[in-house]
Amino acid sequence: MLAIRPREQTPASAVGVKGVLVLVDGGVKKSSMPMKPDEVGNLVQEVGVLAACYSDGGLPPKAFFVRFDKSSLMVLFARRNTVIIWMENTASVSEIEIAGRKLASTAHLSGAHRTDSILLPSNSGALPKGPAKPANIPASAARSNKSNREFIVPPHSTLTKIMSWSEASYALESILTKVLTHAQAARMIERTLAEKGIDPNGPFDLISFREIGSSLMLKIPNRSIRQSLTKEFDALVANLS
Amino acid sequence: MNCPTDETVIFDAHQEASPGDAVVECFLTAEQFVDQCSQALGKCLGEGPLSAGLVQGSRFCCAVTYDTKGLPMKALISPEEMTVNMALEMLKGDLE
Repeated sequence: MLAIRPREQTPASAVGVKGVLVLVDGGVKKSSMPMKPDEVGNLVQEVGVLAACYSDGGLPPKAFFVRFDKSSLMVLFARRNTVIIWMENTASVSEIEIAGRKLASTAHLSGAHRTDSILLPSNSGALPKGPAKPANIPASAARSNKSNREFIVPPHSTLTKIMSWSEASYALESILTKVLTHAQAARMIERTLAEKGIDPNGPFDLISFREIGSSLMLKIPNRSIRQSLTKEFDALVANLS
Repeated sequence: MNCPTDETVIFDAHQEASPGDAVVECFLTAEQFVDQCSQALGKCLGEGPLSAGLVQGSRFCCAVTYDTKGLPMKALISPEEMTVNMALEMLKGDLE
């Protein structure tokens, strides 16, 4: 089993998110949607109706996504929780989706999570004045747009040293979750480490890391994505060399 | 509805070339739902025409891109749980 990783290093880019709405058991837990309270209520109602319409044989939906001319809406479902993200079409769907899924899986936990900085609205002055609670913006990330951008550099691109396999796995996960869900990426890495006989708590070695990372990149079916992520992985290895 | 295919299928929704009746039936049902989503959610956001949509359920994923007239252009049906980004990238046509 892999060790617990420091979650402060979550990749993020605050550019492009217009608003986020977090529902727990159907009720609004957090909202940063730039909408009036009754508009937020309408949106919640529509999503509820759509989810109920979709549910087939007791199996709920996992995600809806619609892209319009100017913006997109992503709705992520995870058991009791629903996360609705309104974003500009220029936003990084992959990074926002990763952060959204993490939020969806932890939203019901009281005080045990925080909103990923990527999900902070680009224009934080657009917080609603209605009954919906404002998003829980980390103080360090909310100081200014400038400090926001400093906070949002993907961790693996700045790594120059890895001390353990758990850190290495996290860096790999950060790359793979651009095409896989978090759980899929983590499982794939764990399985590969096990196949190579590597103890996740054992000493890190760069040669094995390069070998494992390269083999995982080869499993990405889409050529252009594979090339892009392999380039990212190579840059990470070069930083560590 | 169960996924009618055991591998990801991408097809041109404009063309008459059929990926198979079961896949088409699944696509039509899912696309109808995407359309329903776009109408309901577009109204909430004050947004216009749809350019892409995705529905991911437990049994299959359906993603669709639309042309400027709002007609389905390309479609993807997959038994895999896909990320939105992956599905959209695949629909862009960057395929092997």
